[in-house]
Amino acid sequence: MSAPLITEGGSLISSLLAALALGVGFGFALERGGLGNARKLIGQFYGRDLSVLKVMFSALLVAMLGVFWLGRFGLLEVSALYVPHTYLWPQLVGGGLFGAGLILAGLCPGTACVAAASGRIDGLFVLLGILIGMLGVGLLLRRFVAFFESSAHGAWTLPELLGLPYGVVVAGVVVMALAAFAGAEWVERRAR
Amino acid sequence: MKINARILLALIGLTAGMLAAVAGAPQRPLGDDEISAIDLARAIRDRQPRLLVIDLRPVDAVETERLPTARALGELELQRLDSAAQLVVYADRDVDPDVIEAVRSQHGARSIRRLRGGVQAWKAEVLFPILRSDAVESQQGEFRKRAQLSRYFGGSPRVIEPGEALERSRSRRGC
Repeated sequence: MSAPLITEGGSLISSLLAALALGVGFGFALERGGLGNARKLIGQFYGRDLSVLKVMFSALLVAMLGVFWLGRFGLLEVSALYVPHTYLWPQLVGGGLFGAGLILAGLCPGTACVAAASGRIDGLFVLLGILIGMLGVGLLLRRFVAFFESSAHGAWTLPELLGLPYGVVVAGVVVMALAAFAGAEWVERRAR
Repeated sequence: MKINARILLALIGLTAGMLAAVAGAPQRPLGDDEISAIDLARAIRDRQPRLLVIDLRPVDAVETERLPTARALGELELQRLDSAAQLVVYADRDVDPDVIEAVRSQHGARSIRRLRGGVQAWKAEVLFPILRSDAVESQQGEFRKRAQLSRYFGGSPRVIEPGEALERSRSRRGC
């Protein structure tokens, strides 16, 4: 038996239950990492506390190495995983807006859920803002559809872009992450 | 010497990353009793002596479509086959190794290999290979060879523009 255990076209209820279990696990990890606190998140932008970088990059590293080695040992069918499509300019603009929102609110969607679930009023208000934003985008999307679908690159991966074997890219990202962790620790030490 | 937990985790991550670079691909390497769709296609094209491709699927599926030169298991009397025959068995996806053992034990020791990924892999890798038009030169060179092989079997290799949506049924749920 190999993953993914829930395939496309499988029962919706099993997908929803899996999403709930993963969401609870992710939320728990965020809360234990202290990322339900807007002050901690905003410390990132002042160079005081780079926990967000360290936690998120650690999660990325675990997922990347997990996918690679589970696939390598025949426990995961890597080709069955969905790769989100790249729309270069819309995603760059979206990323910029997301970053601006993160600085302004001190929380991102995941951490806003964690903050709200742990009883923080600011988390509730950020969630409300996110829901209003989603509604607004849904209502106005037709006006921006040309931009929304521009600079499409399909399911584009780093190994394809760089023309390098998948494993070499994995090793490169690991080195990059460890350098980022060391750099973050150095920045935090200087800020103290 | 006391090892800090963070340093230990960093070392584990670094080791896993470096080993990934050595391993190269995230797919399990072919086992001794497996053959890739591309290798099987080359063997069929080159008319490899004593190659016998056997379709393990139900008869109605075999009648609808089968790999070139393949014969349904029911059409054969394995006991009467040349003991030097090179058998390749396949199904829709991977064939369970137990099936190989069952065939082997019933019909004597023969060279039996499983087609990795079955009919699905044959379609994806041999009949309908796809390459992005912005792929690097080495990938394009490899694709040209595959395209030749694909056309030999009546396939239709495609080079797609980066923005062209692939015809895939998968859709992303959630975010």
